[in-house]
Amino acid sequence: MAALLQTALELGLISSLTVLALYLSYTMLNVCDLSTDGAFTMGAAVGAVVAISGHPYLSIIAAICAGVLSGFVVAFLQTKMGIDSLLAGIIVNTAAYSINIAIMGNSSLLNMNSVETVFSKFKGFLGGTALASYSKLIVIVLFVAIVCILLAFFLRTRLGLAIRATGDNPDMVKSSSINTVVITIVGLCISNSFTALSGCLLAQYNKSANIDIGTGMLTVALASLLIGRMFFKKRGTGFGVIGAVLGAVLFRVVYTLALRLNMPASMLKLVSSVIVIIAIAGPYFAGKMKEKTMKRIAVSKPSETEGKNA
Amino acid sequence: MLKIDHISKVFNKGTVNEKQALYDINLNVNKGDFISIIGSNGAGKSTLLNAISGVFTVDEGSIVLDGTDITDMAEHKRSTVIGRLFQDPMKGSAPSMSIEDNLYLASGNNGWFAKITAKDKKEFRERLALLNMGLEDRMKNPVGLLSGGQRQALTLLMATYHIPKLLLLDEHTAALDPATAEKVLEITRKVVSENNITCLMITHNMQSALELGNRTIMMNDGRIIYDVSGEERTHTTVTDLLNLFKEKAGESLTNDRMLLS
Repeated sequence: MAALLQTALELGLISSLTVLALYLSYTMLNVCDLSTDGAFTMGAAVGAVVAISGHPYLSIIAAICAGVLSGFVVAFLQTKMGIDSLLAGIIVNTAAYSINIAIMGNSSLLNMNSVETVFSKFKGFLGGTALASYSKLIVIVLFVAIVCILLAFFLRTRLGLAIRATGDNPDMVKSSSINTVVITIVGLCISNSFTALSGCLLAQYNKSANIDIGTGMLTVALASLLIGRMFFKKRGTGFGVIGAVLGAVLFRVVYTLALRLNMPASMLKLVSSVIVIIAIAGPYFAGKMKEKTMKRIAVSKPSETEGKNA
Repeated sequence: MLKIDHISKVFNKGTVNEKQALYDINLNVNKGDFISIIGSNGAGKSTLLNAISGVFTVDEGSIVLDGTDITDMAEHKRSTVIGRLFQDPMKGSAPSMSIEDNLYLASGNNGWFAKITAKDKKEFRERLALLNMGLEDRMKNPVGLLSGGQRQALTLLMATYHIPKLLLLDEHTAALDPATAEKVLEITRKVVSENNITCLMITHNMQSALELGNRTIMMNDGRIIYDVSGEERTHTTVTDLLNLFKEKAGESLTNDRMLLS
């Protein structure tokens, strides 16, 4: 059971990088970036190809660059080419499939069983020490911690504030002499670099990259993001970042427990879809209910309001 | 200072909804002018300010601000020298961000990768204190929690953080209750006169159109139909304005929010 939970924690932390990407693009920049699946797979593919060629450290940087490029294309299509932002994401996602196959050398599966990855490198570094069995977890925690610290700091810089304001009120950003097009492009480049890093780490963790590795990632990450949002309502962005990571881990742990209770693994995507539906529709209906009760109160106490008016 | 030369704008050209919003407008604004703009609904007042601030580019004519031709300049570039306030108090600030974060963006202080410093905070605090609304003690509060009047005052502070060459006010007090509107107007008057800002203000309040500033223009159907300043303006009354409008436009001045006194 402990080993199972450790695996859940590791997988949850890896996907938390994608959740952080959505925290930046969906929550902060207010752009629904549907290219997440494609960028995730691209990170996995590029990372795997570079690692197989014998450069495990370089593979991380290469995957991040691939994510930046993918994010740039999505942002460019929606800000400069007049393509609706949802459509831009779908188009890039579709195009990424062919590109990812090409990156993987016209194959849909890359095996990394005997390849040096960041995980195997670190395991070798720890050698026979007591921490050896936690080597994967340590690597992942390091990556997530670095991304969290950078992101939390970034959101408080002028550029980060400009990204938040662009999602909040683009008119205000324009009147502060800031180009919202540039801000959107920068925001999506950064967010997709997190997504690709996430994909790269998962492929190296699994020791294989396949073309379907990112399928449904957007919904899973969105579900995690919305779960994470419940932890720190109305708190600052620092807490938002922590909430996103917590959401991702919690989602994965609950999913693992459900698997233990004999839920078929193929249910993952259905479950995450349902969570997203509940998380978005729930507050919507709660708002409607509140409105109704307010009306009912207003109707049932007409004499009181009349008395006040008189 | 601002030279508007024969500008025209047609919206939805070639469709049934075609509308000539601006018709061959000429306007010469001198440095330090405070011009009030009045007119009926749909007269083109807001469209004129939109043309100057670059929300759209005009079909014909040119706009020159302080020797620079800004006719085809992008909106965010113009906003380095043009400050703007809208009728809607929600439009000028980002609601989920704090007062200091909003001011930090408007100030343009420091580099893109720099956080707010203690020096910035001190500067914001001093400027907020000038508004006399107690906002200097609420700098960490999200702007969404402020009242309409407070938000509009904050927007004014942001728009004039670096003294703009031109300030455009689009009925910026119309959505506020009378007492708050008066207060925001007072702050406006103070900021504009202390910094000698050139200003164009659309107003629905006939009295303040004549009281504020040094020049009043009247618009109807995409044209400037009356332009009064100096000696003549000091003798003009609200009744004169209404009669003049009727005479020039051939119909009474109608504006949803018009205040006569």
